[in-house]
Amino acid sequence: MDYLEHLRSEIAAPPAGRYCREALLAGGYRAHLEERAPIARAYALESLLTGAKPYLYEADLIAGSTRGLFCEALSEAEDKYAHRLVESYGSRSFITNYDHFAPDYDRLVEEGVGARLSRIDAGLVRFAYDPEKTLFLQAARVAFGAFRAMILGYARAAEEKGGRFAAMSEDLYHLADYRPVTFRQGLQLIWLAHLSFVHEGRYAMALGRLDQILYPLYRGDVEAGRLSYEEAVELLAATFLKIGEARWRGGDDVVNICIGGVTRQGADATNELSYAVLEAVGRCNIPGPNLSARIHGGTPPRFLDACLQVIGTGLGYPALMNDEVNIPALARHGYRMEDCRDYCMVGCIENFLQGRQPPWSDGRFNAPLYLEAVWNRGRSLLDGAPIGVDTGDPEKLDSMEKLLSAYRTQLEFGAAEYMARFMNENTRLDPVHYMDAYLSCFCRDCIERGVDIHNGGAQYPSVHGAGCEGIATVADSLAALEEVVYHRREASLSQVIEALRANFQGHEALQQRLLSAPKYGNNLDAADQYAVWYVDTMEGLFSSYHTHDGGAIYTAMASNVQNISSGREVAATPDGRMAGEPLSDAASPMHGMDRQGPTAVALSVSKPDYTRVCCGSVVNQKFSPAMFESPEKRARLAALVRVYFDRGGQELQINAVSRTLLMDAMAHPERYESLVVRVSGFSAYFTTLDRTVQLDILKRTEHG
Amino acid sequence: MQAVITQVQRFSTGDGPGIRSTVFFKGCNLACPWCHNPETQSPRPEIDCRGRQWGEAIDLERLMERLQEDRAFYEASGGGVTLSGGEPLLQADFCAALAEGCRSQGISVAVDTAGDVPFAAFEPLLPLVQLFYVDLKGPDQAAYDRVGGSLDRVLNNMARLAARRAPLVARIPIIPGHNDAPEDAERMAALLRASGVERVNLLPFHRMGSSKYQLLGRSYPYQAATPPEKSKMLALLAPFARAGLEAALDG
Repeated sequence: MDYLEHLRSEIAAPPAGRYCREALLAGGYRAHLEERAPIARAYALESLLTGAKPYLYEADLIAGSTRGLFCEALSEAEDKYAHRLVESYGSRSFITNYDHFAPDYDRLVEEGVGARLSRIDAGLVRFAYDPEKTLFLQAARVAFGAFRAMILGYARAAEEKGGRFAAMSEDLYHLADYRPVTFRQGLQLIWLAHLSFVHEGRYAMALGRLDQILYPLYRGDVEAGRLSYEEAVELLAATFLKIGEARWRGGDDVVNICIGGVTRQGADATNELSYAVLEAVGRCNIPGPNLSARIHGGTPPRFLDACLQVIGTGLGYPALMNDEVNIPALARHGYRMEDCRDYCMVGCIENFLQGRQPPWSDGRFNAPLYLEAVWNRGRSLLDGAPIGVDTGDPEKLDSMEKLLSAYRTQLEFGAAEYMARFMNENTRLDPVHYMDAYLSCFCRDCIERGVDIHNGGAQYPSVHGAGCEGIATVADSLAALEEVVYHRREASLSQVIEALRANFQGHEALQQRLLSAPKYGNNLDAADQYAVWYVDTMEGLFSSYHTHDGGAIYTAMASNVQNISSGREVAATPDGRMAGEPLSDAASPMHGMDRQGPTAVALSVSKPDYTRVCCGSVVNQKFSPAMFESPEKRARLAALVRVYFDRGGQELQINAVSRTLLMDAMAHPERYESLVVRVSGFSAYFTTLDRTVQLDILKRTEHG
Repeated sequence: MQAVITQVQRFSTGDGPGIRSTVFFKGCNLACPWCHNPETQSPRPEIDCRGRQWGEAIDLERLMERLQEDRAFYEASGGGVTLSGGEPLLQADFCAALAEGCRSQGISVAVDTAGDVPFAAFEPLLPLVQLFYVDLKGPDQAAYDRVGGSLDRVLNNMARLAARRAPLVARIPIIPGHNDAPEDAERMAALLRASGVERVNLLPFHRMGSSKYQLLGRSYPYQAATPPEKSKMLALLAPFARAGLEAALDG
């Protein structure tokens, strides 16, 4: 059995004992009860990072496991006590910019741990006159020092194991002070830093542009004859496989890794490591490493084909990202062009400037809901809740223009309410008490400025993504009303509203007529124009708002699987959809309504201006596995991707699993425990998904 | 000018190189009992048991518009338009006009025909078509009697296409009990060789069309037949290769 399979079986055995994160944190707090919260928090982190046992697998090539956080000696009472103390100190969360962050691993690998500590020390001297900056830098000193101690802990553990682990131990002792000089050291450093964040309980921490960050070290090793391509793939796979440890704690992590794209100067950035990462992720065959491949006009055909080969295994990644859209989308917000070109993703598909801005946050905006606010004078059709504003008697909406204007008024109110709620949540925490000194050590300019990442330390301000749901539900609804009510006058708006109120009971013929109207995804301008309208309108509404530190509110045409839960709140819609049914999924056409095949979908979906959708979008397509079998067949898919991207498509993610297989997996989940599929901006084990989500994936139209 | 078609299938991947749009013409002069497109056999529109109408009369201009939608995909993939059916060449004038229209737009055209038509139907297409797929249904006239066609006319057309250096690929559907014996392959290889054909594709029988028979209220004689194994298909390729033909599996 090779290293990778050995490691896989070691990871598969769940750890014994209780998860002791809180107990370790509490130990740190107990020893520093008199300190101000930021300092106490840093000591709690120190207790966590040094108290977690440095666990090494027999098959480990790169050190660092969360297994050391499971403790058999911890009693329930001790754990309960620890939870109470830790909860009292509190923590940031997703909505207060805790995680979904890509640390500045590029600079960490360039300078090393020692140099970073020296920068903090220099800051403590420089800002000695400023108590607030001194407090921040003292906390940073303790926290980042804890990371160094964690590295040394692993160095000693590897030393004790001896034999094969002696080389690993040497690497780790070196890394505690100096910058990495080999590929293996670089990867080791990044992995331990990532592990420290996982130990803290942060989720969806991205590794960023790994093929760019580690390439100089890789090339140096290869030129010196120290490393082969195959060995690099092995090291990467042995690292990524441990992302799967998240399953012990009940779910999968979403660790975004970005490959390909252009360099900071704009040249093609694809290199041998891009292929190595791709191959390693393919070999792991687990959902956690969420791979994003950046594609641009100059992406080598060989790279796109290599991506399609991995997609063809059914894993659902890499998701394909279009540089030609994402870079201009970021540039609209005034970031330096080199930084725009250097973007990566966090979480699912969210565009991020690695190590230059605070962690990501986003929310869901249920745009189709505001249609019924137009029908019902600002109230929900399902329960009468005042979801919008009174835009008057709908009978008076005697033209498409008036209808759109009323709907826009509702959306304006919705956006205002969304933003008020977001700002309430996002700014709820006191910035000093809840400073994030450790994370600040991984974000450019925080140390230089002596300012926390949440308080203006980061190079760029925080951004937020408003996930606009149901683009196809909205476009299809507006197109159906235009055709049936305003153009052909086959029914009045009041008749349609009556049918919607009745959830089409007794109005089946009208429902069929609405269903037969033009639908988004078939390259019909009659419907697609409203998708264009939707993207422009949503960006227009949200771009007038800003985050607490002056950053942008991006829009996203993506909503994970919330199109299902959001759909439950929405009454019947004029596209023919019944009350409570799922909304359309992300930026994709409505399930089953794209009847002209993938070329028509590509033509439709690329019509809106996605440079106005800076957060990102998700377009799901399903192809039968046979479409990936030969280079000739993959060349057709590659051509499809190229044309779609050339026309301004932003993202494409492909499931290569046949309907028959998915249906069989629903009937016999026990036979398909390892089946990984693309869900939305992430992949997951199919059998662990909710049945409604499974059905939704099944309903995505399959091509080829 | 109008034609009767059943549908335009976009992102069609089984009817020639690259990304293609395939036009399925309605009406056929053969009646292969294994046919997977039974809705294309009758030239008249038909309504199936779910109330869906199969067959529409479409203007040349309207059809050209639809085909042009995917032009960027044809260009990026080396694909184009395929005329299939049914027997497209029963509507030969329309096919020629359509091929001319495609050529003027720089769209590559392939024709998928059973070849049992007067050569005059091919003549105007010769300068316009980048690839002719011509079926060979069996090794002798007895096999052609079962589908109601003429082996001689098909072979004659293949020979004339080959003589004119038209890009030609013979396609043989491998049908259980009809033409799937090793000696059938030997004889078909010899026939193709004698006609000057250089390339041949073998297509395994499949039952994907069976539900369409049900919809049309017809019985499918091949309901119980099983598709040939891949190993059998590979074995059948050998005689063609031995005869010096460039032979491949398709479908």
